[in-house]
Amino acid sequence: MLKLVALTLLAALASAQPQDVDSNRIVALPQDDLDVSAIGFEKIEVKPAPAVVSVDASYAYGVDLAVPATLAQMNCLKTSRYAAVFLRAFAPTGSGVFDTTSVNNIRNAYSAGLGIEVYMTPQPLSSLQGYQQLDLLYNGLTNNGITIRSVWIQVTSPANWQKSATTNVNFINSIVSRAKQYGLTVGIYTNQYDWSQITGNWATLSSDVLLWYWHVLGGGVTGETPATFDDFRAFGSFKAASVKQFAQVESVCSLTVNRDVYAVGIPAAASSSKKTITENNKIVVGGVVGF
Amino acid sequence: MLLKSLAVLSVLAVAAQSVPASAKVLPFVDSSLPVKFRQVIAEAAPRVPANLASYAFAVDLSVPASQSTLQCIKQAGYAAAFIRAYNPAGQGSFDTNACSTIQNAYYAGLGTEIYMTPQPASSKQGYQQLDEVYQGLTQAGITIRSVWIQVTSPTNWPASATNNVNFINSIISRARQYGMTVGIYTSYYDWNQITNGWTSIGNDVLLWYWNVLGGGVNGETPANFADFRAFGCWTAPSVKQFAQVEQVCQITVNRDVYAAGSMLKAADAVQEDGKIYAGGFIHQ
Repeated sequence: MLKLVALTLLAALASAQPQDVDSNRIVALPQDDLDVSAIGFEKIEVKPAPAVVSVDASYAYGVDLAVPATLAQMNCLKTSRYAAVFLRAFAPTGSGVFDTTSVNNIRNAYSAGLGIEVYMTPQPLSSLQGYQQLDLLYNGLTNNGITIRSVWIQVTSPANWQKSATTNVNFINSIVSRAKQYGLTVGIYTNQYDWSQITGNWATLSSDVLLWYWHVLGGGVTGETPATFDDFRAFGSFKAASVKQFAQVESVCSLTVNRDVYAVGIPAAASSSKKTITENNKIVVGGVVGF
Repeated sequence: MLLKSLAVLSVLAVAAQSVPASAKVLPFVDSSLPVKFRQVIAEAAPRVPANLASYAFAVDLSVPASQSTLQCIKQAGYAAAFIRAYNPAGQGSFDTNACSTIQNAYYAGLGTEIYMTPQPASSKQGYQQLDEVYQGLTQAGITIRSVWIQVTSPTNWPASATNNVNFINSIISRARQYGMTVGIYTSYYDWNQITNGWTSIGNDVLLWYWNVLGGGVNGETPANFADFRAFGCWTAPSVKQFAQVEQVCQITVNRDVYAAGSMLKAADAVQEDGKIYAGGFIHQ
């Protein structure tokens, strides 16, 4: 029986955060002649995350990551009561590349019985258009025997985007349109401030696009906000949220991850996600998180 | 009339970045795409609670305000006003509205702080922009004792964190030369985006941070410092902006709290030479 475990992981989350600015940020400073030792930059120290203890049937926990994870680590996440992983499948390096670590991550997550979603951290400064970047992600996964049903697009870190909101809107629209051509469900990983900065608070993105928002007071355990949607306020075109990232840059199962909650409609649905879906012997990811 | 120079409230009205349109260049809308942008409409702000002993309330604004408006604001329970003295439009310029607004605030009995929204993409360097503020106010007979520098809206800043650090440092150094206290209006995310988390700004620099869930009454966070987490070089804030784009006395403002213990009564702040002093109202 085919169950659609298609969890298109919102990969967008991890790279958007200021704490991961090193991995996401394209800082072209070829003529930087400033003595760097004269300037101090803050580093976030990664501490272990608190354990998942919630018995609230309405929320499930997930982590999002952009680093390689072994099968043992994926099993550990499952044992630690995370129901899903959001894996980055596209990296903003250079002009934007398919993130090859996603292949094994997806396979390991699949074996561990975790719900799987994929996200992309696009490269808005690239010569590649939005739809071309989406194609790289889609083909990258498909060529590795992975079928995706949904994708999350990271729209964070205004410093990494163009200054023109209209240019950014067109870029995002290009990705969204292409994804829909492939029949994918689309979500955006962002928050009100990012959306306002990057898109000028674009309000006419179609209403079938899901939202994964983030809100932390800072990186690490001390910066967490409650693992609920209580702090969500409608913005842009988004009337409701599907996922919230409430903690950033924490250690879980020896991985540096961000932590998320998403609403599950029926408590049984969370545990049923362990039955993964294969279609023609291909892993299907995405669709774990919905409205 | 004895006017203590303490009335020199640093006008730090760091115009909370909450109003994107105030500092942001409006995007060119390509007619081929029906792009619509949502506006935040300013609704009436909740009232200031009467018996809050530990925090005092302030507003920050970048629009002109008459004396009656500012008297109304004082009546509504606000103790201070943060007034913008530098406008980032174009190459950046001294905000000529500041002079009258500061005078009106002062005579309404409000503590007065000054903030500047600099223009980092300008051909004018940081210290030159600070000079414009200093000279503009001094020529109007206002002595400025402190200034708050707005470091928000990453999209309005160049992509190079190092250049941004140098720019901000230029402003701060110049302000110190004038003997001013300096504060920064920012958030941990803005600070990371714009300066890459710069930590060596100097521990004499104060912090005014903002945290809202969105614009308007619906987006407010609690009017206290409980959501502050240390970042950059700051381990404690002086001011928090907790509400953006709301109506108070029929003007659009953002709302702030600061620790009441640091407040100097306006009545104590009189200056014998008859000049208005702005800034220095808020301490660490």
